[in-house]
Amino acid sequence: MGLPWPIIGAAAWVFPGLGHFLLGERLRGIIVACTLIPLFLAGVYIGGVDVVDREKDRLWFAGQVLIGPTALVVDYVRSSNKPPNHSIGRVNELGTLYSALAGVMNLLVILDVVGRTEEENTSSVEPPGGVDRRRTV
Amino acid sequence: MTWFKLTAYLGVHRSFIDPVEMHDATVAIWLIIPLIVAVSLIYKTLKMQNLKNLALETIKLSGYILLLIFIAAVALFYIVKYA
Repeated sequence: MGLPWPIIGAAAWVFPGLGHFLLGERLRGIIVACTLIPLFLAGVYIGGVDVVDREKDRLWFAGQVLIGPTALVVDYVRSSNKPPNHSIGRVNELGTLYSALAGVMNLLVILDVVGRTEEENTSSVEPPGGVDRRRTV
Repeated sequence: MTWFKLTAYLGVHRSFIDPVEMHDATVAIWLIIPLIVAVSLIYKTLKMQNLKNLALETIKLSGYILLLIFIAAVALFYIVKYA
């Protein structure tokens, strides 16, 4: 019996890839971390901190915050950036898209890791040679 | 005077705080490629049981997505221009 799924899911939210890492899927975790974190940071680099805006772009922020506390930190930096430096046009669009997609992809990662945890915990209580839950894809 | 205010008044470009300068709009189109590759890589990482052929599968999926975007762009171009 491993860690319960809420802890694994929370770990995957706090640091993308950590959930898989805790499950023993280290390579998967490293690939996720090395893809999603740079993707989010690339969005912030392109559009500046203004791409993460909890007050004006609530819907985008809902996607961005799925990447973890990093989005909250970026939003805090944006709100304390006085005078505010707004990014507009194509760079803002691209930066927002990059960071929001990173967050939404992390939602997939969280759901995947929660599913794997459930599978692992269920199979650990079944007798050997029980139901084969291996993925076929 | 805070660091933010000081650098803002001095007009210094602050990476990750200020947006990058993109004078050429065509550059933005090429930035879609790393986005597509990242999405394909994550999708395949989660979907594949064995990560042995991950690179090849990622390239294939990225190609499909790019092709679909190109077809959609051509279709939308003709709809906007002639419809």
